[in-house]
Amino acid sequence: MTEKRKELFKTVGYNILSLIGVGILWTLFSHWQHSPFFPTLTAIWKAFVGLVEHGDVEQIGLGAHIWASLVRIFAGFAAACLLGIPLGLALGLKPKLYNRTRAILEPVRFIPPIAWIPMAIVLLVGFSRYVFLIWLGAFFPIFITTLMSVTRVNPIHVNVAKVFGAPRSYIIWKIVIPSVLPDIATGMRVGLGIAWMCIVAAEMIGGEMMGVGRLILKYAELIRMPEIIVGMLVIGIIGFFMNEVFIIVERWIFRWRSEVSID
Amino acid sequence: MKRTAKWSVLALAVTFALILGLQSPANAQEKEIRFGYLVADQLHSPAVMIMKEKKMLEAAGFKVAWREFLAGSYLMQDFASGQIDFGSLGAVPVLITRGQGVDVVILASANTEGSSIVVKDSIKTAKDLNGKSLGTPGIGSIQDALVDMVARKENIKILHKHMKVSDMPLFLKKGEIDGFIAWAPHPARAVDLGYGHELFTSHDLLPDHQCCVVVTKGAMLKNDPETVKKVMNVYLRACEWYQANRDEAIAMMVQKTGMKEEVIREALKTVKNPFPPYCNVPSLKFQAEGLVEGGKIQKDVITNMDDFIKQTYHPEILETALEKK
Repeated sequence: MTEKRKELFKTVGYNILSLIGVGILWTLFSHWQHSPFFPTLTAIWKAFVGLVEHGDVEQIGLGAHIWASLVRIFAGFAAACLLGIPLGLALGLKPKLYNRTRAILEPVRFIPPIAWIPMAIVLLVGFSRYVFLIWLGAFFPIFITTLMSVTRVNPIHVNVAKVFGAPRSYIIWKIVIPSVLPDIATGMRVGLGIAWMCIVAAEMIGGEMMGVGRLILKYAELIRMPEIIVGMLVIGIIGFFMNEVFIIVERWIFRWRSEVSID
Repeated sequence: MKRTAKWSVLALAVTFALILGLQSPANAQEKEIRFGYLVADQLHSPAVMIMKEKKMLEAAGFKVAWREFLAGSYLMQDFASGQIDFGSLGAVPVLITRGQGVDVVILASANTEGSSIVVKDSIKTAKDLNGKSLGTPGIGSIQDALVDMVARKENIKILHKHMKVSDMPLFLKKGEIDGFIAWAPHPARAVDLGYGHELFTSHDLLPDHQCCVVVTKGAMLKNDPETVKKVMNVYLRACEWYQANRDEAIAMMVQKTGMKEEVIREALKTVKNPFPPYCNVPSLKFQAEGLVEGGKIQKDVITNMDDFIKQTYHPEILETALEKK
């Protein structure tokens, strides 16, 4: 067994052990509390099975809720990437333009998506409303990371290209973009995490019957903790797997980066 | 290093003491209570609005922390976490919460009826609601239960879309829903704006149904009945004030809701505030049975419905307060 494989087994093993540890602590605490507001793992499992087999109180299945949220997240996230990356690149390459528009861009960054909800209700309809709020959450991490990474491109690489008479388009396509891609990927990963955080806020608006956020809110109204925890775990687990897939793809695309390691 | 640690601990202690010192000292004579109520619910709970506006509880020696909630279910969530001592909200969220084992008890009625279904003009009858979407204030509300009742009665399927009551007229106007059910005055406002017409009032669906109620903690009723009695006395005075000063109360409602007086007066036609404010027990029972049937209260929780209602509704304090009068 190679060292790398041994390390992988160790990592997976420790993660499983941590999960078991948390499970044991949860069980002890729930038995000690003996409260419907701190359900046992069995109650959570039963709620999960119930949601899968029979759906929620309105007979909407867990799969339908997950699918509705995933579609909204992907649409909002895609919109954030489509606008955030080109805009970040453009403003990074034209720092003067960024400095002259900072007064618009920077304050908007600090307005949380939830504060946009009243405007979104009035100006947008249905699906576009969710996409807008998720876009708002995911856009700025992607945009800012792209923008900042452009300013950090190694000037030696750019200057060497200039000395050899490389045109601006060559410098952008062959030096700047390859240099900033790993940072953009990191920004996208952060943006994806925030997109998941925004989904509950977006689905709080109401007007739609499905979505994991909606499911959590429905059961919050009925004060049924096991189903609420199922919804929370679903978000956490899907987010975790999406993040892992992202990391794997990122590692594969930018494998040249991992060739140099400090440890 | 030790010195730095000492100074850090001292700095922390000073900061903590300062924070404590900045809290306003409570008057030893004042009993502090936390009272939850619903946003734009002045028409259903006029006595609570009056108690708040006229500072009646404060005059009776209470220091009151008023807390506003978007819907009854949110109020109940805070109640379950021990953040609220008294509240005014729909009976349905109370029954659901009680069904979850939360120590909440009903003391008195705030109103009966008072909700309406407003739909777009193309919908003329209950049957037309088949396959249509109606906005409701949430799965744990009396209004949501009333929509279920219409669907069961007419053997049709109605899609429930949950949202804030104040957003409902806008959603209807934008065509995102085919209608909505809400507490007064929101239906009357939508009709006044020309967004739709009233299909049913809750009187048509379930005459004299219990709507909003005043609640407290069972533990408070047991351990501190004097406080509960005092609050109920003030509540009764506020109810009487409402009966005697209707126009002034309406002016308050106009100011609080920001709606036109004629809308408020029109909306009030659908609301009943019976006095003395006893709850409609058969209606509470009927609603609880509907909640069990709809899966909103788990079946195994309630073994005997009469016992469940008896444990939930405690009119004794109200009776005592009325006898005193």
